[in-house]
Amino acid sequence: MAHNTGPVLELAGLSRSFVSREGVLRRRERIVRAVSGVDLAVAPGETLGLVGESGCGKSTLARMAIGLLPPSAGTVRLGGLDPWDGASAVRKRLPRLAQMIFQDPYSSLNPRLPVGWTVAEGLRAAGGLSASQRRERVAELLAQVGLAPEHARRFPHQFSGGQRQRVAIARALALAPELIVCDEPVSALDVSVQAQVINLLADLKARHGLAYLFISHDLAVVGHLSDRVAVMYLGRIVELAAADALYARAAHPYTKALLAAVPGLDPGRRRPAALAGETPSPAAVPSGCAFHPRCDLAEPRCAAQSPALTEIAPGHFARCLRLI
Amino acid sequence: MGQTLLRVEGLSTVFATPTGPLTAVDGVDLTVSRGEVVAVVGESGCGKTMLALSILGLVPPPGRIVSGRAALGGVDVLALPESRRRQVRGKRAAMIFQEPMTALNPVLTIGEQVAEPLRVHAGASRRESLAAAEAMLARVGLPDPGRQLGSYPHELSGGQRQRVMIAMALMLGPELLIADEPTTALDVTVQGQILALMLDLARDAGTAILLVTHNLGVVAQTADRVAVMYAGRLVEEARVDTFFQGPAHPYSRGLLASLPRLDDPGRRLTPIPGTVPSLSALPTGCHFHPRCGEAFAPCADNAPPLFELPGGGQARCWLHGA
Ligand SMILES: Nc1ncnc2c1ncn2[C@@H]1O[C@H](COP(=O)(O)OP(=O)(O)OP(=O)(O)O)[C@@H](O)[C@H]1O
Ligand SMILES: Nc1ncnc2c1ncn2[C@@H]1O[C@H](COP(=O)(O)OP(=O)(O)O)[C@@H](O)[C@H]1O
Ligand code: SF4
Ligand code: SF4
Ligand SMILES: [Mg+2]
Ligand SMILES: [Mg+2]
Repeated sequence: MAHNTGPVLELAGLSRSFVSREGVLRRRERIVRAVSGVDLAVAPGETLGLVGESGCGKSTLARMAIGLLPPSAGTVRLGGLDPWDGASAVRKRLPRLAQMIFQDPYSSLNPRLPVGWTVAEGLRAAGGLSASQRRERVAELLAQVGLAPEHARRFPHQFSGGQRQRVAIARALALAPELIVCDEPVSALDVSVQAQVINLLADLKARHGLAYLFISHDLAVVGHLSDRVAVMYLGRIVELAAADALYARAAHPYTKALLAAVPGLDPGRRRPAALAGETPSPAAVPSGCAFHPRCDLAEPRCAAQSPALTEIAPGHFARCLRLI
Repeated sequence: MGQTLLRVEGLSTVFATPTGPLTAVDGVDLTVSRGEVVAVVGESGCGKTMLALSILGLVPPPGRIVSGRAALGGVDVLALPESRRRQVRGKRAAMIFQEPMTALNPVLTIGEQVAEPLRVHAGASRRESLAAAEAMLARVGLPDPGRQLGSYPHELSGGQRQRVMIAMALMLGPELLIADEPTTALDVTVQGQILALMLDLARDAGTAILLVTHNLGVVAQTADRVAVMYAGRLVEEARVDTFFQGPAHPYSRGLLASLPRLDDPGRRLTPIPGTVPSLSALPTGCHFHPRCGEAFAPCADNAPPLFELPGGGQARCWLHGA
C-alpha cells in the first residue's frame, strides 16, 4: 500500500491567521491566530488523534492538511508532495493520497444527487473505468461500509445520520487513499450509532492499512481510535504522545484538566470542576504560555516566556516551562 | 428522599403531521422529590425535550398534550388556565434551555432580563430588581456583574450566557428547575463548571432538578435517579448507583456498551445494531425489539408494561415480567 516510506502527511511550522472584522460598523480589524507553528507527521497506517476544545483550530488545521485552505506560513506535504504546487501531475495524484470526512454528513453530500453518484465522483474524475465497472465499484464500496447496492439510488434525505456518514466514508474510500482526514466524524451521531461508525473506521484501517488524522473534541473517542494523540490549545500543539502514554501519564496542565473534566461513569466518584475560566479568544492570545491565565501551576515567568514543544520522555512531547 | 414535588402520570403529547399523528411523549410516569436531581436520558428524537415542555404546558403547536397530569406540589399544572400556569412557571418552576442564545432576548440587556421575574411576579421596583439581579449574577460567577448588567447576550461567551440563564431561572427560588441539555453546547471544561454551579445553587436553596441530557457521564456525575427514554416511552427508571452497576433494560445496557471510555481505550465497542426508529414508523410490541439481542417470544407483538424491579426501580421489558 505505502508507495513511499516517509510520512503520508507532514506539517512543518504550519500557521494560519484570519482577519476578522468586528464592532458595529465592522471597522475594527482583529487578527485571529487560528493555527500557530504546528509540526506534525502521520506515518503510513498510523492514526494520529487531534483533540481540543471548540475554536482551538482543529478544523483550520484539517483544511490545510488536505490542501483545501492555503497556510499563512509553513508547509504541508502529502506523500512528499506540496498540494499548492499547481502542477497537473500533483493535482491528479492528491485525491489518491488523501480524502476528508466532515462532521455533518448532510451538508457534505449533494441533496439533489443519488448517493451512488456522489460516491462515484472521484472515480469519474480519475477516469479509467467504464460505467458498469464504476457501478460495480460503488456497490463494493457501499458493502464495505455496511450498506446495500440498492442504497446507491437513494437520496441523502432518505438516510439516517449514521448511514449518511457511511456514505461519506464510502466516497472517501473510492480512490483507495493512503490518508483520510476525519474532522469530528462521529460528533453529530447518537451514541449507539457513533459506536457503529467508530468500529467501521477501525475495521477499514485494519483492512486497508489506512492512515487517519482523526479530529474530535471527545477525548474518549480519540483515545479509542488513535495510535498517537496531539492536544491543541489556542492554535498550538501543547502535548503529543502515544495514546496509552497520554491517557495514563498526561504531563501538560491543560491535558490533565481536559481529562479530569470528562464526566466519568462512576457515580461513586464525583469530581469537582477541573478548570476555572474559559478559553480566551484566538484574536487575543495571552503572552508567554498561552495557558497561563488558567493554569494552577503558573509561575511569574509563564506570562513572559513562551515554552517550546519539548521531548520530555521518548516520543512524549509537552509545551510547558515546568516540564523542560 | 423527601416528599414528592412533581408527579407526572400518563403524560402523552402528540404532533399532527401530514403523514398522521406522531406520539412524541407516550404515557410517561415520573416523580421528582423535593431537592432531588432526576436525569432524563436518551438519544436524539426520543422525546426528552417534549417531555420537559409538556410538564410545564409549553408544547409548541402543532403539538398537543392528549392525556395525563403533571402535578407540582399536588396541583395539576396542566389543568390550570394559562394565566395561572404562567404564574407557576414564573415562581414555582423554571426552565433552562440547551442553546441560551435562542432563549435570551437579543435586544434586552442582561440586567433587564435577569431582573424581570422579580418585577413581574414579585412586584419589585426597577432599582430593587436590578440590585437583586446584580447579586444573583455575582452568585453564578459572572465576572464583573455590575458592568455586565448593561451587556447584551451576544457580548457574552456560551458559558457566560448559560450562567445568566441559571441566574434568571433561580431568581425567584423555584422548587423545581427543569434543565434541557444545559451544557450540550459547551466545551467539556466549561460543562463541568456549569453543572457544579447549578447543583451547588440548587442544593443551597433546596431546589429539585429535572435534568435532560444525552450524556451518561453527566448523569453519573450529577443525578440521584435516572429515567431512560426510548422512542417516546420511559423504558427504565432507577437510582444512579444501581443503574451504573448494571442497568436492567437491554437498551440501557446497549447504551453503556456503546460508549468509548477513557479508562479502557483499546476495548472494541459493542454498538446497538440498527438505528433509532422514526416515531412515525414505530415497531410493534416492544419498540426496541428489532434492535434487541435478547428479544424472545412475546416481544414483537406485545408492548411490555413497566415492571417493578426487586432492588427498586422499574424496567419496561418482558425479561423482568413475573
Ligand atoms: N413541530 C413538530 N412537528 C412534528 N414533530 C415534532 C415537532 N417537534 C418535535 N417533533 C418530534 O417529536 C419527537 C421528540 O422530539 P424532542 O425534541 O422531544 O426530542 P429530544 O429527545 O429532545 O431530542 P434531542 O436529543 O435531539 O434534543 C421527535 O421525533 C421530533 O421529530
Ligand atoms: N474563515 C474564517 N474567518 C475568520 N475566522 C475564522 C475562519 N475560520 C476559522 N476562524 C477562526 O479560527 C479559530 C479556529 O477555528 P476552527 O479551526 O474552526 O476551530 P475548531 O475546529 O477547533 O473548533 C476560531 O476562532 C474561528 O472562529
Ligand atoms: S508553562 Fe506555566 S502556565 Fe504554561 S502550562 Fe506550564 S506551568 Fe502552566
Ligand atoms: S421486551 Fe423483549 S425486545 Fe423489548 S427490551 Fe425486553 S427483551 Fe428486548
Ligand atoms: Mg471544527
Ligand atoms: Mg431535545
